[in-house]
Amino acid sequence: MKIKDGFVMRRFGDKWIAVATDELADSHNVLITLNRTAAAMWELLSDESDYNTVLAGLLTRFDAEETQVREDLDRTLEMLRKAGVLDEQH
Amino acid sequence: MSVYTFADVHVRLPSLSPFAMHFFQEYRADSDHFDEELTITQEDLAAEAILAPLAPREVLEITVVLRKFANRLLMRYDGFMLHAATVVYGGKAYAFAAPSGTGKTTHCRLWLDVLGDDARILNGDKLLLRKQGDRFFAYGNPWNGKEGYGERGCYPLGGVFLLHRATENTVSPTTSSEALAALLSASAVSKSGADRLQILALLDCLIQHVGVRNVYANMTHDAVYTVLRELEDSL
Repeated sequence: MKIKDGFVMRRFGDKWIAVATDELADSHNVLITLNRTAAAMWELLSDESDYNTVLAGLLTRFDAEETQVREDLDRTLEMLRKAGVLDEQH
Repeated sequence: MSVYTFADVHVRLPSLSPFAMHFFQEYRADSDHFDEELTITQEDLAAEAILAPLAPREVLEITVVLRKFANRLLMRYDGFMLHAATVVYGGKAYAFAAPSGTGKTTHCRLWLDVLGDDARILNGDKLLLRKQGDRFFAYGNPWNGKEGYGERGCYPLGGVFLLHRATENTVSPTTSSEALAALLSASAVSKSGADRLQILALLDCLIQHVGVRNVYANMTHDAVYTVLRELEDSL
């Protein structure tokens, strides 16, 4: 799975905002607001990856219990799926 | 070819229809020096016609110039166009952004009713903004909407309000996400990644240093007093 190509992201204080560009903007004319953890997940999913690899990447970045990180990852993945920005074809 | 000055940028335009020349007349530059040159191709006019199929060619010329100039402003001059009606009061410009039909121009006319000569409408439809340091400057321009409210001039931007129609008049803060979404939509920036990154940077600065608030307004004079109280409270 990976984030669909065609987003640009910028940090705004303690949030990150992703905006669709080019053809993707036709169907995704919304802003995606991400906190620090979700922004890290977004970055880890900018290339094709799998759940366990993303989880491992987050665990090296954040000093938190694995249970908590899994919950955050699951919640963020669900948000990204609902927003239609996750490509899970591969 | 003639040179015109928009937002302090000297722009050379190609030969235009008499209608377009008249439209831009007030903004003719005093000299032939130019900073930018814009062209208008058949492809440009055709692309514009998709958005406004009933518009005659001379009107399409005007909107092509706006679209192209707004893009230059964004990419080279730390500026952008905002779909907003703007009043000048106390030496500062206050922009009211909202989708078409919300009542931006009507709200600005109320400012003239309430304040008389102490307020003016800088532009009734499309504001040009440029950033200098942490400040933004609002420019009058010829694209001032069908009612034709507007004048030349440049004023520091004192605030941006997201205008909503309501029965009661109130002003409230926005979250940065809310402000960003509304202003991104109102800036009508192209979909290119470079353009969108640039506009995000400019809007970030505007939200932080100028401030964006919601105003819920019922199109009575009290709506103006409500905003004025907010401005006084924030001084």
